[in-house]
Amino acid sequence: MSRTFAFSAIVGAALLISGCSDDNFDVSQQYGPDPVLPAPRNDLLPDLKVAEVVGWQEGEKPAVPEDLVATPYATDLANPRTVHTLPNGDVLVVQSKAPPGKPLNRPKDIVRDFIMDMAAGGGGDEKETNLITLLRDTNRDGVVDERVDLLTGLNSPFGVAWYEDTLYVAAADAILAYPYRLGETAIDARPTVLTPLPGGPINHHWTKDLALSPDGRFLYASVGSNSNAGERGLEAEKGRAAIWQVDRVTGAARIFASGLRNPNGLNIHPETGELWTVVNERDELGPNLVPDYMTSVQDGGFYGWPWSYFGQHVDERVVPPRPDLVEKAIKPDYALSSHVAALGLAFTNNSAMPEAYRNGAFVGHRGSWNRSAFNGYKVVYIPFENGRPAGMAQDVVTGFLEGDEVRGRPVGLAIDGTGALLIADDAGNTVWRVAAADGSVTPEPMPSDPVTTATVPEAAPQDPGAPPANGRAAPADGTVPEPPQTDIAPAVGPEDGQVPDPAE
Amino acid sequence: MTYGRPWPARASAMDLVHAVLLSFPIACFSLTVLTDIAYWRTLNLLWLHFSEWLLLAGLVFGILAAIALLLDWAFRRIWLSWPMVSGGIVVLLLATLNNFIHTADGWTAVVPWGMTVSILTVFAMLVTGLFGRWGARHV
Repeated sequence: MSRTFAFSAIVGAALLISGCSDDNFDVSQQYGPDPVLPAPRNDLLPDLKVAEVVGWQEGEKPAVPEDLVATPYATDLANPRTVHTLPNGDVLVVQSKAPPGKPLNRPKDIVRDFIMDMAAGGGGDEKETNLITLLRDTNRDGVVDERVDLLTGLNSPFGVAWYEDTLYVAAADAILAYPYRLGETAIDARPTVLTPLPGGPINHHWTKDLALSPDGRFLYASVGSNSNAGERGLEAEKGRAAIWQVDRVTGAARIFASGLRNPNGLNIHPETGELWTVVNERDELGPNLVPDYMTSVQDGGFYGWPWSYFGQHVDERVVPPRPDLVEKAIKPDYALSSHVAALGLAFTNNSAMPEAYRNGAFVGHRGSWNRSAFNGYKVVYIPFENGRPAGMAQDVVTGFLEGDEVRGRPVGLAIDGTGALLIADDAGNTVWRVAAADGSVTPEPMPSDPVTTATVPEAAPQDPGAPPANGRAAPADGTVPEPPQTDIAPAVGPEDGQVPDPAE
Repeated sequence: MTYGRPWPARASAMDLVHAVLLSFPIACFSLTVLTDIAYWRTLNLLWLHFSEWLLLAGLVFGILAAIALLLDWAFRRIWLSWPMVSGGIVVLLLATLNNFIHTADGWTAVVPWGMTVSILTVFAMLVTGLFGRWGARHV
């Protein structure tokens, strides 16, 4: 309760100083390929409204349309962030919380830390988190029959991928590879580090998501930025606000795309084979800037952060400006409205959902805390046509927010082994299953990372010193091109990242 | 060789407390102008962080000084001039405003309004110092 009081004091001050906000803005204008972007605002104190996390009471569950039914798939979890379906239909639930020890450089950092803690429902008796739990629905009836903690004591894991008897786990600072055969219920082996990723001590956006390329050769790893809009200096952003492409065999890595502030929900579109992601955009430009978005990711693409947003809209806070990079910033495919905190994405093409939801994407909105009116706290469905978003997003799973109280916050999404939607609810400590009301299931399990093309990876080891295939050629006039700092990945050899053996 | 006498012989311990507390906002807010200019010229975030902490420290000690003076005025009936009181309030309000301006992420935390308000704060302190003792009784 003292937290609530302190919070009221903060909000009171915020309202006093920032004045009233334009709550009349229709957020639906910010869904789609051409969102309405109001002029940036430079409020003395940004809008702030944090909902109190109350959790789900006995029998309460999210609301869904009539042709769907929602049930708790797993409860009593410890901050479930992502769900992942293995080829045999087993589901992995990754549970984690932010890594500790972030330096607080500014008076503001301390206040922000406090608010974020509250938004996550921190405090109280917290269960041990940072683990991966395996859920098995043996008879494919949508009810978990077997539950076992597969890995514990991880360093803030988020993304997972599985291929060729190897389970890849994206911790807050590296991709770890565990030998793991489908069906096993324990992992005893120590992991190897496939490749280190930019980690602490700041690790502001720490969630690293993973996806497997359709040919099984590469892993895509998302690395969020170390700041809101570059205010920790660009040195802190090397290799960040980017999606890495990592050779699954050698661990050789390169920046696949950058300028993506906080990308998560990496998924390959089942029809086109393109990589898609949802991205959290920047704060403190007003309650209706900048919309989060969903986009296909182009190889070598640059998406603006921190210098610009939604194409060529320059962020005046970032000095020195880089007009050369703003010019080449790619406008994302589909806006999801502002501050919704889109973190999960799941394509439905091969699911057992009703026909109305079978060609498109579900997107989880964890929900805002930096707007005076709440936005998000739901899962929306966006219809696709020919591999592109086509039409308005519709609310499908709601009820996470009740008045000003939060019962849960949807984060990662996946289609489970029976073709139903799974939602990781990190504040409600539950994984929800949303299935067709008629009880239809897919004939066989569909993994989160289907390998559709050649399964034989080219074994040719890459020379780490060689420029990447799409490396920028120096222009003929002899000037050296200056890439965005986010494209400069820390150079590390595989031996730099090995986990030391505690026995030594 | 002569020695100045910084304190009247009859100065009490409380007067010393006021002087010590008041020296913090004067030093902090003055230095903020320099660190703001340093950030403006170099873009080195070190200076922005310096400004933020100086503004916070200056404000905290400024409020403590104001509280000490008010208590003294209430209980010991010490003499306070209205130019000094109103000047002090203006300085604290400007510093509060400036604390919020400096929370912005990056360039706009300082240029143009952060630096402008930093300079205005020092100007307000100078005016308060110069005219604050108008009407003081010479003892």
